[in-house]
Amino acid sequence: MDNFQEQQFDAPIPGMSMTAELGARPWQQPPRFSTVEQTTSHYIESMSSEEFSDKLIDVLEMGVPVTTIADVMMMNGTMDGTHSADIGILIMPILVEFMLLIADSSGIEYTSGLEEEDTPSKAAIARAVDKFKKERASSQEDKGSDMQEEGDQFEAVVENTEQMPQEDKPVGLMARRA
Amino acid sequence: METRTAKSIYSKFQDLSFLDEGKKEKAITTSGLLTPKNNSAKIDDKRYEQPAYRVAEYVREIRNKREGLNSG
Repeated sequence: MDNFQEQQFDAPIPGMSMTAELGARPWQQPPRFSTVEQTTSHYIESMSSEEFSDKLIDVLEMGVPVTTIADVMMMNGTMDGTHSADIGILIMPILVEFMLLIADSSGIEYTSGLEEEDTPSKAAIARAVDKFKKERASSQEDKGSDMQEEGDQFEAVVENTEQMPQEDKPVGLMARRA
Repeated sequence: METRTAKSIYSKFQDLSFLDEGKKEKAITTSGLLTPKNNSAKIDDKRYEQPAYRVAEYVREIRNKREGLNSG
């Protein structure tokens, strides 16, 4: 649920794409690298530097998952026109694997981001609660309709009893009482 | 829009056994002046035309290095 809300706030404002001329943005231009090989060699070259390794280790030690860093790198590469979005998605496993290699070679403890989640996500819990509420509401409605039926039957019985012919009871002081 | 794709994409590359399926080993003659120097098996393999397949090859290469590092 938190992720969903976060993404909602990240979404562009309507009309934002028209605030610049078409083709003015880097991602609207032809990318610098158009093949998997070119893009891979570009990333491997930049990731092989000591500067990148040091920064990566710092970030991983802070607890940021490797997959998140790969996502950011891919997004950044697409936004600055280095490669297209589809090439970025294609080479994502290479980025993750290479960063895992750097992390393993440095011997630090890190989060890969590939671990199975033990606890259900907040979104899953929210869905389950919604489902439970709906089921409870529908069962209460059913109960209510049962009670309504019972009430209708009771009223019908009452009406019937009211409509039953009543014997004329003798009135008067001298009338016989049972 | 899905913006966190790395986990799901990487998980599809966990099992790379499909790379070895149906691989043909070409017998290379090592003598003769006109013997091709390069193994053309890769070039003949139609799967190399698929970028995802080539990516899987890269991933396997890096993973082998990582596993070698972890084991030794």
